[in-house]
Order: sequence, then C-alpha cells, then structure tokens
Amino acid sequence: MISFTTNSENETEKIAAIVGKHIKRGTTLALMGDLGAGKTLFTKHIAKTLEVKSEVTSPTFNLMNVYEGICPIYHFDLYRLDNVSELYDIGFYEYVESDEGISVIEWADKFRSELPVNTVNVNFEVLDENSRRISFSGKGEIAEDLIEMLGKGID
Amino acid sequence: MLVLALETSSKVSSVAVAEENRLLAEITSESKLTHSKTLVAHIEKVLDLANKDKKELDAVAVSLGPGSFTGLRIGLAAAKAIAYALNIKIYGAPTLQSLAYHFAVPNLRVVSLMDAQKGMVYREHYKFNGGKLQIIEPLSVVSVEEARREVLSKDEDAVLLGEKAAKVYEGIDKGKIFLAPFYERMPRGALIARYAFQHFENEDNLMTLEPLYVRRSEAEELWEKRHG
Repeated sequence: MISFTTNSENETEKIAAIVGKHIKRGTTLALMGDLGAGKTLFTKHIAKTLEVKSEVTSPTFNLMNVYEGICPIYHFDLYRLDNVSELYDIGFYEYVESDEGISVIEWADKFRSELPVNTVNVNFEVLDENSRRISFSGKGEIAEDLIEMLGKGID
Repeated sequence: MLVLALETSSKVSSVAVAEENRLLAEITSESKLTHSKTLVAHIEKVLDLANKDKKELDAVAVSLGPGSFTGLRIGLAAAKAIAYALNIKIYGAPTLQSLAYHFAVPNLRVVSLMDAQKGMVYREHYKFNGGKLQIIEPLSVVSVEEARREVLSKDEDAVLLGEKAAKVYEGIDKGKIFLAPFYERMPRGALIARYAFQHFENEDNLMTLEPLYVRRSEAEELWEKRHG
C-alpha cells in the first residue's frame, strides 16, 4: 500500500497524472470514499492524462459512461445499485474483464467481491476541506506494479 | 425470402444478407471496435455488396444469445428498428444452437461454448441425426473446468466451438475431442439467416422479442458467496 496526502486539487491532479501515465489496459480502479471526497475529480484528471476530450461527469444516473482516449475508459458509478444481478444487467463483467480498456468504478466498495483480479483499490479519506489522504492498495501484479510506479514518481 | 441477419452476441460482429439458402454477402469481423460503432455501417456495406436495397428485405434475423448483454442489446435494438421501419418480419435465433450448424454432421457431439464472464461459460451439447439438431445437454452456465470435465467424461468424438472453445480445450491435447478451427468457431450472420429460413412460418413478435438471458441459479450465487 502507498498513501499520499494532498492539500489541493492541483496536488491530487499530479497523482492522477502519474496513475494515468502508468496504468495498463485491463486495469480496474476501484474508487472508495465519501461523497465529495474527490473520486470524480480524480477520474477527470486520469481521463485528461489519457487524452480524453469529452466531458467527464459522474454517471450516477446512467450508471456508466465510456470515454475514448488513448484507450477506452469505462466509468461506473455503483451508488444506486444494490444487487449483483444489476451488475449483470449493465454488462459490468464484460467491461471489467476486457483487456482493451480501463475501468474506473466509483462506490466500488459496495461490490468488493465482484471486482476482478486486476483491481487497484484507491481510497479517498477527507482530512479537512482541502486535504485528502489517497491510498492505493491491491494484491495482483497490476496493482503492485502501479504502486511501485507511484512510489518512484513522487517523493 | 431476402433476409438480413445480425450476429452481435460476442466480440464478433457479423452481418449477412441471404436469400433462400444462398449467402449473397457477409461481413464478419472481430476487431476492437464496438458493435455500436460498426453495426450500422456494416449493414449498409453488406446490402451494397449483395446489390440489394433495404426495401427489398423480407425479414431481419437476429442472434438472441445468451452472450454479451451489451452486444445482444445493440443487435436487438437495431433488428427491431429495421423490422419496424420497413414493416418486415423478425426472427430471433438462439446463438449457441445456430453456432452448432457449423458442424451439422452425424456421429459427432457438437459443443457450443460462449463467454458468461467470471470464469463461467454458456454451454449446450448437440448431435445431428439426419440433418436434424438434437439437444443432448440443455443450455446452462457452468465453469470452464466443469465444461472441460463434461466433454472429457463423454468419451466420444466431439468438436468444441464458440468464443470459449479454446479456453475449454486447454489441457485436452489429444483423443476424440477436437477444437474447431478459428473460422468455424465464430458465430456468423449466415448461421442466423439459416434459422430464419428453417423457421420462416414461425416469425417472432417485434414488440415482445427479448434477448435470451441465462443466469446462474440463485443457489450457485449463494454458494459462491459462502465459499468465495
């Protein structure tokens, strides 16, 4: 696990840029944290690094957005879902098991057991109005590699 | 009867135009592009290749699954819109059964295997007797390992096809089980058109036709929760 404390949006953006630069196709980012903790903002900055031109907004209503950048980004928001069967209904597994794109999942902690092997957990903790602690963890090779890159990228 | 057939139940996109058991044109591709981007363009191209106008179509046939939820919805939505706009018949063809017609030959167990995600496959076993398809093991969702065990336990000539055939075939390198070559493993528009010709008197209802969704039983879901 690796953690960073950020004191502004600008600092969060720098971390997102490192993630965006090193993330591999087929990776799932499981974002966890309260409302307003910065999950969507983080996603926006990753998308920007991956050269997404369209607008990035939290898909709370429509459950999923697809953005075209260097590779496709599947942006999920599971806030409104309660059952595993609903994940089947939206084709969740087809996207997270795809090795073409990157999946970014907000409120992923609602369905921890449904996340694929190549998941990197990203936890957002609100310290005060502007400060956040952002922690990366995960068991797979993909997660370990990304954590290593993050360790090298920021002192 | 001039039929436009759509097969988008997996990563393979296949569009065919056929009449009375003659394939006029077909585009089959397995690219990284999504069906939502390619399907309509392929329909236009295939009609053009077949030298037919959309107004000449008598029916549209569509692969019903089970398969990719997203793919099936794109296929169904397109097929329904076309059937409605042109006021023509619609036929929904079961994907795995249609796939089996690649090997409509006697004395062979034909096993269709499509991706059900999370290490599971949709599978169904068939035999052809006098050209007629018989279901030997009915459609269900099983793990890749279970699908492999089943095939091995039968000890008879069998062919594996579908997008998960290669995965199920892993570790089975000899004996009576045969992995269909890649070009005979893929679901294809022509096979969906075939269904419409065979069932031409039994068209489906445009308003009520739905994809064939097969879920794992609730018991299996619970078992997985407990045993992780």
